[in-house]
Amino acid sequence: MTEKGPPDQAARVRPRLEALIPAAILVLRVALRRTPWFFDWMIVLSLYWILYVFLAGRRERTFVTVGVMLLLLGIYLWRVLPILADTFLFCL
Amino acid sequence: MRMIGLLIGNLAVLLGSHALLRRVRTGETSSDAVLFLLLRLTLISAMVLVAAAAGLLSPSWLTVASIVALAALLWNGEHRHLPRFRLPDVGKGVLVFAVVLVARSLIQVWIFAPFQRDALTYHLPKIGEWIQHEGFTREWGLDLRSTFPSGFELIETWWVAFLHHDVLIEMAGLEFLLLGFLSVVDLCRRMGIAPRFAFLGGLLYALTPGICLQATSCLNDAPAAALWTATAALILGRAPWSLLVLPVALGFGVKPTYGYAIPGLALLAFWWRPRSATRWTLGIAALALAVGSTWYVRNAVVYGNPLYPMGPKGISVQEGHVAQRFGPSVHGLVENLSRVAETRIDDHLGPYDPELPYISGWGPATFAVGLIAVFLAIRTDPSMRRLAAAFGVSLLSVLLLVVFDPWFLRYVLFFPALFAIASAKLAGDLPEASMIVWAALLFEFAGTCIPGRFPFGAVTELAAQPWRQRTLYPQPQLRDIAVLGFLEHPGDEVKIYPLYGPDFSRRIVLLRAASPDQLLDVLRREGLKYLYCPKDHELLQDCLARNRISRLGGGLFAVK
Repeated sequence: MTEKGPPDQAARVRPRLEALIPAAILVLRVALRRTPWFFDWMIVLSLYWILYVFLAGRRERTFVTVGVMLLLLGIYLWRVLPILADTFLFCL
Repeated sequence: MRMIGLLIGNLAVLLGSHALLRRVRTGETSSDAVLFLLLRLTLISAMVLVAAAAGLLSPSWLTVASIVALAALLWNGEHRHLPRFRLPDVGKGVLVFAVVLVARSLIQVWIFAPFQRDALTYHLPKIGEWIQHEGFTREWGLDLRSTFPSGFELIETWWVAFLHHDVLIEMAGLEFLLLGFLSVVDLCRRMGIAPRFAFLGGLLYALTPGICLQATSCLNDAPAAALWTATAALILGRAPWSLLVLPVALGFGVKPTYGYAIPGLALLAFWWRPRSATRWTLGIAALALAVGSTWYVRNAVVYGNPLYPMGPKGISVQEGHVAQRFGPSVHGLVENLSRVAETRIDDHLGPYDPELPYISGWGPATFAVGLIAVFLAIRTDPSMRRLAAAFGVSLLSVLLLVVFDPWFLRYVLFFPALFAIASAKLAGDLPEASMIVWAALLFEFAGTCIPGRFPFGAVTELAAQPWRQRTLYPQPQLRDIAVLGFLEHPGDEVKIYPLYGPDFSRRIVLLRAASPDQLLDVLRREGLKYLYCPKDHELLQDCLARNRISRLGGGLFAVK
């Protein structure tokens, strides 16, 4: 699509081009992954990026953004909470 | 009485800092707050340096000097120019949280005793020497790293010298934690974030587990990071170039790795050009340069190398082991970056600890909110794009220069500030994100109460001790020994600082000897009756065989 194309078409092409970046990261990450995929923050972020560029509405974007944040927080706590609980019990 | 001396000293420095600030203020409250704290740290450093160089580092001399300085400032009417105290307009809940955080930090300062390995082996023993001798000594410690720049130790000395006791030594770290907080608040304001959310950004940075726990650990990585963020804040505030010398000189004086992160600051200064200097800012720059360069000048004079012990082959503390290399390594950069992404970023390989072993210490706010917030910010905001580029360049330049080891992320503790700023911006734009930020903050608050590598039952044990005797390493076998010789095995790293005692009442004679005869000669010359060497040293075998010393157990020997 050239710059001269109708605005709605240009707007549709740009997200597709931008989505190539996270898609490439996603492919590389899956190929090179060392941790289970559901713990992998780069996979989560790549998927988020792809969703984000295709969802234009503010409500949808907010929903996805908050959802991914909660997912990342969940991943973090799942992995770190047992270690922190140990620290408390051990050091007090 | 000594506590009153400390109080007067702090009043004098606060008033003096404000007097200087009046001459160089930027006009922006958030930037002036950063500048004020930088001036305070510079004045404290200068005062301790002068007192130690003159051999006047005693409670009485420091109190007299503080009284004179305070009287002069009051005579000059400086107190009449103090601003009226106003609570920041950030909401009641946020203020209550901030007050609780301050109260918890003060309790940590009161209860904790120095515990971290690097602090006990080479950062703090020189303070023990300075306090005991009421000034600088030729002896700074047996560990090679004792000669590292000691700008942070000057601030710690300030909190120790008046009391002749280390109960408040962690206050030095809190000063830098406050500097980091104020700098991030200022950076947020420069990014157009409303005051309420700028304050939240500051809290996010201050509660980053790595930063927060370092503040009470007597380590200098977080102070160096705070000085980096302060430099960035002053650059974005378009302060005169001569004022930028202030955090830069202090940064180099605290830790040379500050210099590794300069490229990002240079990039910022290229985009936000500094203003020209004034007479006062030049004077302050000269003072800061003198403070920050002291260590390099000393090393140049004593060892012929300003960067000693760094040489062309890096820093080698023990034979065959390079603690830090000299120069960049692309392989090292790739290794470091890969470890950040693969294992360090979500802190799952170990507990939160100031040394950051196998973790980043960036916390859940960075992981859950910061990553997404940075993505969204650089996608839409050109200023944030430039700021993020500068942070990224500094991150890359540090990771290019430091060795890959379990705790290499200690050197980039400025980087979570980017996530804090972006998260604050997002919290302002998206109320739903704000809830998650607060959940992460509360978790960080709970997770940073106790350092992860505290010994078993340490908190209860410390809290039960009277403050005068408070230490994590009581060494009961040394209780009645006033003077102790100390010999270190070449392959050992001894936590020597606790031997001085929390009130620095035990004189430690550091022994350097190449042969048993030399050792016996030093023991005789110094009149030592006891010798401490926790790991068997070959020099001692001969002395034992000749019946010149006898083993008492626990690394202690009696000299006959």
